[in-house]
Amino acid sequence: MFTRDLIEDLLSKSVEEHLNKKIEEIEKRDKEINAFITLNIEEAEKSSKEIQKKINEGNQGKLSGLVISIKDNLAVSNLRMTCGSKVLENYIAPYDATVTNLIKQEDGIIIGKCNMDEFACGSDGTSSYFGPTKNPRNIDYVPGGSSSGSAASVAADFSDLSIGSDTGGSIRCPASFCGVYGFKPSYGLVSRYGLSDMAMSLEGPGPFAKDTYGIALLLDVISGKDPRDTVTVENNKSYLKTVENFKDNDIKNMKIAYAKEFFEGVDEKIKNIVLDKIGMLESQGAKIEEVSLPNIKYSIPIYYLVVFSEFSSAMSKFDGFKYGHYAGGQDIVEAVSNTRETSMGTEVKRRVLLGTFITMEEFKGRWYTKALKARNAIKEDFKRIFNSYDLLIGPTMPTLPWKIGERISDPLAMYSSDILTVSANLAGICASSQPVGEVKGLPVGLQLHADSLSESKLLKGMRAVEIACEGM
Amino acid sequence: MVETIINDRVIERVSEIARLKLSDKEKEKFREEFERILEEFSIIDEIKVGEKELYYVVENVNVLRKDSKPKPFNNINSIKTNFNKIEDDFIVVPRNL
Amino acid sequence: MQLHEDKYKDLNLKIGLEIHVQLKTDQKIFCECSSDYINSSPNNNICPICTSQPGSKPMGVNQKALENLLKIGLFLGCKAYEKPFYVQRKHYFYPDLPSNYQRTSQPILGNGVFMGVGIWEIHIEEDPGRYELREGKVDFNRSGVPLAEIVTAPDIKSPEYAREFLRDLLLSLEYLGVIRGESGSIRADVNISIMGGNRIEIKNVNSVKGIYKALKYEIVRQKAVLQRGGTITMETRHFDEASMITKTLRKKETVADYRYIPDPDLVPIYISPEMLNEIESVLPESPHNKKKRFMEEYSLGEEIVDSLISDLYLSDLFEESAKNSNPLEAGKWCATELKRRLNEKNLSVSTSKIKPKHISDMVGFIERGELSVKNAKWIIEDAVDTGEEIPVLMDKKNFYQISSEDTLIKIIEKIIEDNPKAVLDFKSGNQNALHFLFGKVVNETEGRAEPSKTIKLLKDKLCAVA
Repeated sequence: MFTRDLIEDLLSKSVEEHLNKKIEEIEKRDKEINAFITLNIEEAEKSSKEIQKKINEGNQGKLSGLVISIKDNLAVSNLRMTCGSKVLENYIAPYDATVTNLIKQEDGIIIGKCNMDEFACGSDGTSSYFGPTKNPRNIDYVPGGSSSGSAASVAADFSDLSIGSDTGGSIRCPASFCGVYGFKPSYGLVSRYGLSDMAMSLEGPGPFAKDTYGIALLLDVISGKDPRDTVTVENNKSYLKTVENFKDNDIKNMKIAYAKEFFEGVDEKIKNIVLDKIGMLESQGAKIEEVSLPNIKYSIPIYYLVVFSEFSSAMSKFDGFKYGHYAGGQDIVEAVSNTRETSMGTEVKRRVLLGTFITMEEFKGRWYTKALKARNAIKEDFKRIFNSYDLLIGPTMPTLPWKIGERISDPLAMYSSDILTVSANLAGICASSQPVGEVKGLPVGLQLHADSLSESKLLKGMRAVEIACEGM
Repeated sequence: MVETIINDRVIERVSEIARLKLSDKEKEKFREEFERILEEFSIIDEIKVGEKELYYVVENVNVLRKDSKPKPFNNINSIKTNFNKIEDDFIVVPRNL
Repeated sequence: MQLHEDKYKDLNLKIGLEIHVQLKTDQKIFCECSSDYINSSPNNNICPICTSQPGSKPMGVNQKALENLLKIGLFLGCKAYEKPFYVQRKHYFYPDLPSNYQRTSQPILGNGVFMGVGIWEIHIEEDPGRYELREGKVDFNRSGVPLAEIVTAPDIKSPEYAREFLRDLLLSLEYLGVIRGESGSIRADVNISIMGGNRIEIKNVNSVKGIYKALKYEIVRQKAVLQRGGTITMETRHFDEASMITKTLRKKETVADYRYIPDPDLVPIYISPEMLNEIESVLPESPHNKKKRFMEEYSLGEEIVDSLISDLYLSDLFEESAKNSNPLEAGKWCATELKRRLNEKNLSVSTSKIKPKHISDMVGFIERGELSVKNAKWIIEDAVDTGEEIPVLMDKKNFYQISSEDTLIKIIEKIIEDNPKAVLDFKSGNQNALHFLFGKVVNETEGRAEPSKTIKLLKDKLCAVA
C-alpha cells in the first residue's frame, strides 16, 4: 500500500528531504497546474525539522511528516484564506479550523492552500478568482471542482494527502477527474469549524489520498466530536485498522446495490468500466442486486434550492467592514452594495440572488420549504436501501472531464454534472470516489455510498475495489 | 410551469435585500436565467412529499454548553488586522445621520 | 395605579412592548468570550465566532442563558412549548451585526401575565455589537451577549403604566438574579396605537425613561395628526435619545425581508419536563401565589398586596418585619410611605439602607402611642436615607410623644394658670379659646403632646376650674 510504505520510508529516511522533493515538484509544475493559491514553504520547512526530531525520538504523531495541502476555504492560522475569491483576496485567517488543528497535532506538514472554485460554487475548478486549476493528467482539461487544487495537488505529487470539502460532490468530482481517492464523510463525522460556508446543512471537510490507506489514516485524524460544531458526533477512530485488517471475507459478506437511475445518461465507456468492476466484486463473492431510486432525477433541483438558500444567508457576512475587499460608498447601504458588486464573481452573485429570492416571505413556501420536504423524501429513499444493503455502487461522474472553458457560460449544464453526487449530501450519508480505469488518458472514478456513519463498510468496499484494480 | 413571474421590480427588490448592486444589463441577464432555472426546477412539484421539512440530517438535539469562566481569544490582533479601517480600536464605517 | 388611566380613556390607547434584557452569564451565548463587555476597550472582547470570521460556527447555546430565560418565563406565569425549537437566522444588514443576520430563537415560552399585562412569548437571541451611527464606529465587544426578548400583549393603556410595569418587571428580574445589572440594560421596541390610527412601532428605545418619553411624544404627535384630518399609517420609527422625539426611518432602511431560516449550524433544542421541574424547584414563589398567600395569611387588602408584590425585595422586607410587628400596619407602611420614598429617591430596597427592623420598630412605637403617624412619615424618610436605627432617630428628632396623663396634666395646669383670659373666654362659651389653649400645649411640648388625650384632659381641667 502506497501511503503505508511512504510512512515507513519517512521513519527511516529524511522528512526534510521528502518535503524538498514536493517543493521542487511544485516549483517545476504549479505555474501551469495552478493547484495552490498560497504556499506555506517557510512554516512547512520549520515544522519538518521539528517533526524529524520527534521521529528521531520516536514520539511522532500519526501523520509523521506527510505533506498535506488544504483547500483554501479552511482556516489555517496566520495564513491567507481566499476561498478562491476576490472578496477575501487579502484576508489572513486569525485561527485554525478544527481539522487544521488536528493535522498539526498529528504532525502533518501543511504545504499550502489549494485553489478552488470561488466559494466552492462550481463543479470544474475554473471559477476561481486566481485562475483555473488544470488537470495534471491533461492540462487542456478541467480537474473537476470545487476542490480542484486539492485533487490536482495529490495527482501531481505536490502533496501526499489533501483536505477538501464536499457540499454536493466537491471532493468526489475532482477525485474522479484527476484519478485520485476522495472521501465525503457522513454529515457530522468531521467538524466543520473553520470551513467557510457554502451550504451548511450539506457539507463537511474530507480527505484526498492516493489510496484507501491514506484516506483511512486522515479520517482517523480529522473525525470526531467537536464542541465548536454542534452537528458533530462521537466515533471510535478505527478506520485505519479496518483497512489494514481487510480480508477477502469482508467482501464476501457484503450486499451491494446498484441503481439503474445512477447509470442513466452516463457516458457508455464510463458505464462499461464501472460495470466491469461490479462484475469483479461479484466474482469475489459480493451479492450484487439492482434497486430503484426513482427520486434521483429530482435531486439536482432539490440540492440547488437548498444550496442557494443557505449560501445567500452565509454570504451576508461579507460587507467589507470587518474583513475582505471593500469598495466604499456614501452610506452604509451603498458601501455594502458596492463592495459586494465589485468583489463577487458571476456564479456567486447568481446564487446569492436566487437564494435571496426563494427565501423571501412570498416565495419561500413555493421553493425553499418545498425543497426541504422533497429532501426528506430523498433521505427516506436511501434509508430504505441501506436497510437491506451495505453499499450502493455506481460511477462518480456522468461524463469524462471536459475541456477548460466549455461549460462555464451555462449554469444549468454545469449544475447537471452533479447529478450522481448530490444525493449523498442531501441524505447526509458517506460516499467515496476512486480511480478504476481511464478513457483516452482521462481517469474514470467509481463511487460507493454507505449509510450515515457506516464509514467502515465504505472503506472495506473501497479496499476491495482497490485490490480488484491492482495490476491493471 | 413557473407561476412566479420574475419581473424587473422583483429583481430590483432582490438586489436591494441582498445588498448587491446590479447593472441594467446584469438585471436582464439574471432575470432571464432565473426564470429558466426555476422553470426547470419546478419538476420538484412531481415528487410526492410529506409534511416534514428536513432541516437537519443528524439526530443531535439539545447540544448546550456549560457556562464557565470566560476564555479570551488569544489572537485578537489578527482579527483587527483584517478590519478595513481602524481608529482607536473601532472599525470605521460610514456614518448614518 | 390603574391600567386604564382616565386621561387616555377616550383615545383607546394600546401599548405593547418587545422588551430585551441581557441574561446573566459568564460567557457569551455562542462563544467563550466574556459577557462582561463593558470593562473592555473597543474590540477587545471578541473572537472568531462573535465577529463571524469566515468558517467560524456558533458553539452550542450557553445553558445558563437558557436556564435564566426559563426562570423568567416561569416566573411570569408562562408555559414552555412542548415542541423542539430552532434558533433562526433573521437577516438584515447593519454594521453592528457581524453575520448580517441575527440568531434568534423561536418562542420558548408563552401565555403568561404580569401586573395585568399579558405576556405573549419569550425567546432567546444574541445581542449585536454597537454602531455609533453619528461617528461611524463599530465595536463588537457586546456581540453575542445573550438576550431574552419578552413580548407583551397590547394591554398597557398609558405611558405611566408602561413605566411602572417596566420598573417593576426589571426589579423582579433583578431579584431573580437572571439579568445583567448594568444600568440601561433594558431595551424595547414599542408598539402604540390610538383610536382611528394604525399601529406604530418605535425601534430600539434604550431606557425606561426613554420608553416613557417616546410614548408621551407619540400620543401628542398622533393626536395632532388625526385632529388635523391626517392619517396614521403603519410604520417603524426611531427614537432620538438626544431630542426625545421619534422620527420616521428613511425608506431604504425599511426595505426588509428577514427571510427567517433555521440556522443549519445549531441543532434543535427541546425543553424537557425534567429541565422545567428542576428550574421550577429553585424558583422563588410566583407573584400570583404570593398575592394569594399575603391576602390569606396577613388579611391584607388587595391594593396593598399588589403594591407589595410588584417589588419582590419589598415583599421580602415586609414579611420579615411582619414577624415582629402587626402585619396589617407593617404592610400598609411598606406599600405606601416606604415605596413612595424609594421611588422619590430612585432607590430600591436593595440599594437603599432600609431594613425590616426599621419597619417593625416603627410600628411598635406607633402602637404604643410613642410616635405620631405624622412623625412616622418623617422617620421612614430618614431610615431610607441614613439607615439609622429607629430609637436613635426618635431621640435625634425628639419625636417621643407625651402620652403620660400625669405629665400632660402638669403642663395643662401650667398653661391654664398662665392664660386666665382664655380660661374666662372658654367659660363664656367661646370654643376658639379651647383651640388657643391646645395650641399653647402643643408649643410647650414642641408638638409631642398626644393630641386626643391632650384635648380630653384640657376639657376636663377647664370644666373643673369652672
